[in-house]
Amino acid sequence: MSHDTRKDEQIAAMTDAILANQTSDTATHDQELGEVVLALQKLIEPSERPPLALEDRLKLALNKEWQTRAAVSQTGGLPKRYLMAAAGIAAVFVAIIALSLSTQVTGDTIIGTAVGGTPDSSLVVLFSTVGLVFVGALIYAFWRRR
Amino acid sequence: MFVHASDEQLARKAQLGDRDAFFALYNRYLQRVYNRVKSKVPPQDVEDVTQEIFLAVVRSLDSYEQRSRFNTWLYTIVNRQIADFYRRRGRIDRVPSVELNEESEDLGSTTEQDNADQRLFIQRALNSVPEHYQEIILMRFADGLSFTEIAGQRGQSLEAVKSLYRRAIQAVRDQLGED
Repeated sequence: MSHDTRKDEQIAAMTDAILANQTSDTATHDQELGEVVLALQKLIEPSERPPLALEDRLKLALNKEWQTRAAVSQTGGLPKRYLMAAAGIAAVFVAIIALSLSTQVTGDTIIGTAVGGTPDSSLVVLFSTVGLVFVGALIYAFWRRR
Repeated sequence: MFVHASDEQLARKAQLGDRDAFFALYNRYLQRVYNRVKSKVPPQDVEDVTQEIFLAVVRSLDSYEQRSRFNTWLYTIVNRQIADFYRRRGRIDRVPSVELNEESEDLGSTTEQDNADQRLFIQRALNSVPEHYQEIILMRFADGLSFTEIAGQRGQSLEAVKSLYRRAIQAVRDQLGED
């Protein structure tokens, strides 16, 4: 065991003993480091519970905050990733519909509509664009809201 | 009720609106968060900062992504809130400078004033060492993890963790020597 490894073990063992409230003679180890460990224990006092008054105050404040959060959720505040996923799926649907309509319009077999006349492909493009812009606006609105 | 649920499972339930799951997480972490705050802010501000942290957790719960560990996300909020606290207070120095009694620099002193001075003295030293040194000290002292548990969480060998810990304590000691 190297000198440093032995020191690592000593400081670790001393810390374990101090934190377990067992007596550890820092003088037998590296005294300076032992004093630091003791001072850290005094600073943090790991076993000291938060005051009951704080716990009561915290629970009240958290309940209130939780109710606010729940109210937001009921008015459409779904988790962001669900909204993003829904918007993404909607965008894919719009793209597929636009693509299939474009294909029908440019194909040789469909040359007219039931009510007569040739469908205007510019309308398809227009509706697709509007759909995509709408989905984009939704995504942006959700992003801003979050 | 949630004894066997992981932090990540509880966080997911809380995100979906399960209040009990959130409070189970709160109960799991209150002591650790409180200890971490104690190590970084003046005693009179510990309670307020702790409250701000948990309120921030509720507000940003939806931003937690399951890819990361819950405690990593939580401690990021803890550090951010502590940084905000000092920003609000407009302090450059993380811990208020105090007129230290000469005797108080000896960590063995015992009077009440000396104890208060020593707390600030060691707090300032702890906050001045690099983040990875602070983190391993806090994992042992504030979170109450054993060295073996720390090694598991960090994916390091026990020897590496103990070595890092000794160097962290040494760095705090060196910082005390510089003040």
